[in-house]
Amino acid sequence: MATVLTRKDFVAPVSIRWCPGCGDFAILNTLQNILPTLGIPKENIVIVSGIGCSSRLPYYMDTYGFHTIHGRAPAVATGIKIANPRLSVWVITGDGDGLSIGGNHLIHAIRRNMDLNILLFNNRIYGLTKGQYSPTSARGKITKTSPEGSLDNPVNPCCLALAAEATFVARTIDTQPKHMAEVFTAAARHRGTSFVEIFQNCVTFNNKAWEPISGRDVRDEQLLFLAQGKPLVFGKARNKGIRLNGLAPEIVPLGESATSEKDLLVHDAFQANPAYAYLMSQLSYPDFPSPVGVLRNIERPTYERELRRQVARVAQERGRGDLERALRGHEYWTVERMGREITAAATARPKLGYESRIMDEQIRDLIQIVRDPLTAALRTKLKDIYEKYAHKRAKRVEANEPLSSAIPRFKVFNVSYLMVMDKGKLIGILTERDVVIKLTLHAVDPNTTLAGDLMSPELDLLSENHTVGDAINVLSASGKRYIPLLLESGKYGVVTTKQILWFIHESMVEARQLEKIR
Amino acid sequence: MSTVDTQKRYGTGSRGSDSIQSSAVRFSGDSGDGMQVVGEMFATCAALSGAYLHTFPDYPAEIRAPAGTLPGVSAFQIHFGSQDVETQGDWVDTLVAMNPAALRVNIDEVAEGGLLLVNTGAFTEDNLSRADYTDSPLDALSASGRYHTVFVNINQRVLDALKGMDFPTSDKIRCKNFFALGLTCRLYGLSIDYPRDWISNKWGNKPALALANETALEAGYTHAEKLEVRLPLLCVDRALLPDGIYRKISGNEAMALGLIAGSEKSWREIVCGSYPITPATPILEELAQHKHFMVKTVQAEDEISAIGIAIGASYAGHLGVTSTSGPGLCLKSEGLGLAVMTELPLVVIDVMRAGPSTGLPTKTEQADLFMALFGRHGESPVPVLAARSPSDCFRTAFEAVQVAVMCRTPVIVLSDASIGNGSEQWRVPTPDDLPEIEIDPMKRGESYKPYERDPVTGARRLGLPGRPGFEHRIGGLEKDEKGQISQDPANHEHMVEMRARKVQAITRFIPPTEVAGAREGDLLVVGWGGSYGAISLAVKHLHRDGYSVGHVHLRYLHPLPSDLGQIITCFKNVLVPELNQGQLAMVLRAAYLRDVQTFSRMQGRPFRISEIRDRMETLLKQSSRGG
Repeated sequence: MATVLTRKDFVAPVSIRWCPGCGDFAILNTLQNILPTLGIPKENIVIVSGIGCSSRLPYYMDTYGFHTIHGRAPAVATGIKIANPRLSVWVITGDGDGLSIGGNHLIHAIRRNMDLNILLFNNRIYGLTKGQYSPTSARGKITKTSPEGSLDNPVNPCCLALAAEATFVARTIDTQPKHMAEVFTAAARHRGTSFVEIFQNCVTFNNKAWEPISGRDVRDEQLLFLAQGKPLVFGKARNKGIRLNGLAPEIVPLGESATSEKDLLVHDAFQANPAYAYLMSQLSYPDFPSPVGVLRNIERPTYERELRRQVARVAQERGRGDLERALRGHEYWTVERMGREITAAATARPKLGYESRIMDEQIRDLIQIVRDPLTAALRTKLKDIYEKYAHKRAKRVEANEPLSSAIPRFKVFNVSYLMVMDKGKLIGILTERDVVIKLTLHAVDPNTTLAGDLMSPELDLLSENHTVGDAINVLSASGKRYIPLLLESGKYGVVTTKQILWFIHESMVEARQLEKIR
Repeated sequence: MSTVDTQKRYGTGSRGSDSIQSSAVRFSGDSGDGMQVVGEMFATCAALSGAYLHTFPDYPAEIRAPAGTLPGVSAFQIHFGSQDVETQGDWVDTLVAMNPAALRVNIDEVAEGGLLLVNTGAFTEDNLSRADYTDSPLDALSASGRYHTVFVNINQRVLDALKGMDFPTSDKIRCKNFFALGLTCRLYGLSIDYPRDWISNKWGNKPALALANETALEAGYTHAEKLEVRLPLLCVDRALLPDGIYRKISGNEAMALGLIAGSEKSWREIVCGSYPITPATPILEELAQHKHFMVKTVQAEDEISAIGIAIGASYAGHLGVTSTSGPGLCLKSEGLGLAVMTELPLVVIDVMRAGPSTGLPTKTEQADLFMALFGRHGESPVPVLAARSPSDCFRTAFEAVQVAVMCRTPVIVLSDASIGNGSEQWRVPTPDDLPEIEIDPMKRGESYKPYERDPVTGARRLGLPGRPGFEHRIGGLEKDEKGQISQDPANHEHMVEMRARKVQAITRFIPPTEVAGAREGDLLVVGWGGSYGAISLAVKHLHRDGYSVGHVHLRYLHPLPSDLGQIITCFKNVLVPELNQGQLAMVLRAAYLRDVQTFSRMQGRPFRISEIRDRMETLLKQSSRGG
């Protein structure tokens, strides 16, 4: 099993170069605290950042890290995740990096629902360039580049993420480590883009920017802690609530003679309709308390998973690419005798990969020449084997079912493999071997990992009219132990190495008995 | 077990006694006339007759300009013959014009003595005025004696041939492109078996449509006999083709296949982040068709994201690829800088078009060389390779993958609109002809320094995310060998030198430079990219005529081949023809301190052989006078 990780495993042995008192320290600490608790092997964690104070964070984490260029972290992270979906990819960005220069990439990563965890450190200022107004700075903000006050209307980060149809949107505060840890953990658990805005204090260039909201003396009145299934109540005495009046939210007093909690809005982050989350994102200082916690948390297929599935499906339908055929293309011609003979040929799609086709020809030749019982057995159609040994055994699992529901089936049905189905089509085989090796070596979480992620994709389907010889070719060329079949009925079945060995053994026994009779 | 499903033998056409070496045919008509289809088909007929060929489609820039107008003209040119068909042809030998606009747009390209095959059925008053003709130009054209003219009312002939078939007249006239194809094939003595088969395959489930098109094709073919000409009118020599498997391939297709071959040979799956841009989009489209090679394509939100995705994929151990044209390469500059700094393998393809800015988006130019070589801030060396012809894109892309993977560097591949869209026949290599691309992966438990270098190649080793024990941080900030951020002045200078040296070390892999024609003498022509065809033929012709002229065509523009300096010294003069204001010429002057003559053209079209030959002759005369 994977070794137990601790916070220490995530601390890089370098000195940290943030200003003393910077909110980034708290965020770094929290991240280092929660990562060991997620059950993800350290080598599978990649932290990608852009440019800015926050974007130095990867250097302080002893994981894989990529400090990219200004605003482009979501794009680079997208490439990483597409190449290796098993990685847990974290994007560290700031209000300038993520919302100004990289706004476009942020929107599109979210809209694709890449399985990324995006932490946006919002300090409402450009820190690394020493104090210019940022896209989240308030109107009228006086900075070095806006001596008469900024004219820009600020971006609301959560609102922007929701407009891009984010599947997970949350907000937390650098001064509340416990809350931050909960939010980060929820973000890590969510499959798809998790967008987290962190109210972060820049001690040097925008000190106390969040003080009116999260300051010690005002935070009870100015923060609205969201809890799933709980009414929206706030205030030091928990005597205020938020109610919907028509389409507009309003603050109402709670208490003996006032409104009851039953009339209040109840927090539900799991709503498919984003209207409620949008409403929450619009509650802001000074009229309303600012909501913190998970605003939205819904499921939608992730881009990288869908892309992998498309690739697997095409590979299954067309057969794993054969370079020789691809180079020839659909229309080619052969030239012989220096151009005196030219033959046009249209290519046909192969049933099998190139390698096994070569062997196929050899075995076919052999069958023609040799007439002993063993070679005769090679001519037997797979249909016979399937009907004799296999027809009851093949069990299915859906590609989007988690491993935790697939694994018990091995035991219940006493099988060593399952057919992995997607939209009624067989797309791969999940074997005990896959589970044992990948589950232990990569220490994936059986509850979140899907059967489709761990399976061996099946590229070549034989039909029941292929022969035992064909099956042996495929088995020896591919190193697999299972041959999926596309039956004439349109259903799928599987023939295993074991069954073929049984069959050959029985053929030999039969042959010997025939010999004796003679 | 053969992989061939259907096969059929085609006749090799007849050989006339007064045959010609090569001929350029241009089919032109309205966008909706199906000129691209019959052009492709004619090319295949020519190839099956045993000719070399080079084709070039000329689409209108507008998606659907009004029918019959000048901007709506679509053309497809086929240059075929026994030799010297490395270009699309300086001039058009046979122009098939399906309407007045097509005639007007293309007439200036027709060679003197060329053949005009005109569909008079489309020369209505309306069509004439749409093409800015006040009167029909046909009488004047035949009277001029400049051209052979064959005027056929194709519209009417097709209607006659399809008489009795249950189609509306407008649908029947749509078959006119096949009539024109049949007629042209007959005039060239080419068999129409191939288009006949194609039609029956294409419309196998619509027999009536197949019959109509086939009838039109055959009507065109037999109609030639009614013309008062000797048949075949034009007899093009067949080539002595080396045995093998051949196909037609465009530069963009070849580029995609070269990347796929590189991916297969380097055991790295392709992740292509790209953004649609003329004329590079077909590369992305082609790659998207090859998911069964585990190719993953992402149509990114912009050019910047496209290269970012490719870099991310390379970092995670895949083959990151991005394709674009000039305006996109501008946007990829910062990404390229990051890939240089982090020393990750990456292939960036630039199918050049005329610029700056939006420029002439569908027309060709070679003016992105400086940007490829120098278009980044800081000392940012990137290997730059250029493809010389459509099929050469395959080898160039494959070599780019080799260089990128083996040297852990971004590589820019330059192609251009004319070779990207153009196509030629290609003797298909077998996968065994291609070398494996191997690199030494980190072994478990090895100690890892991110910027420790291979003593020979100078390449660093890659610790891939997901592999335990190699956790490290890279990024745009300068690092020391151990991968720690370093502001140390000496370290920065050292790393700048190491990056430059690593790219320079690629010269070890560059095969010796080939010199065509004379190996020493009066004039060396140095070219790069898509001007190969025109330069090689111009040099070949002058060398045959007794001049001591040589030709070097560079695939590697950075680093330059190490033997180039020596070759240049063997010639009195050096001429560099380029579709720009002399970019390679400036590089060569700086690299070798030689006076290099520039020959520039910036008209959105490839060089003509004749203009290069003329320039060479002028130079040769000047120098002999001076000498």
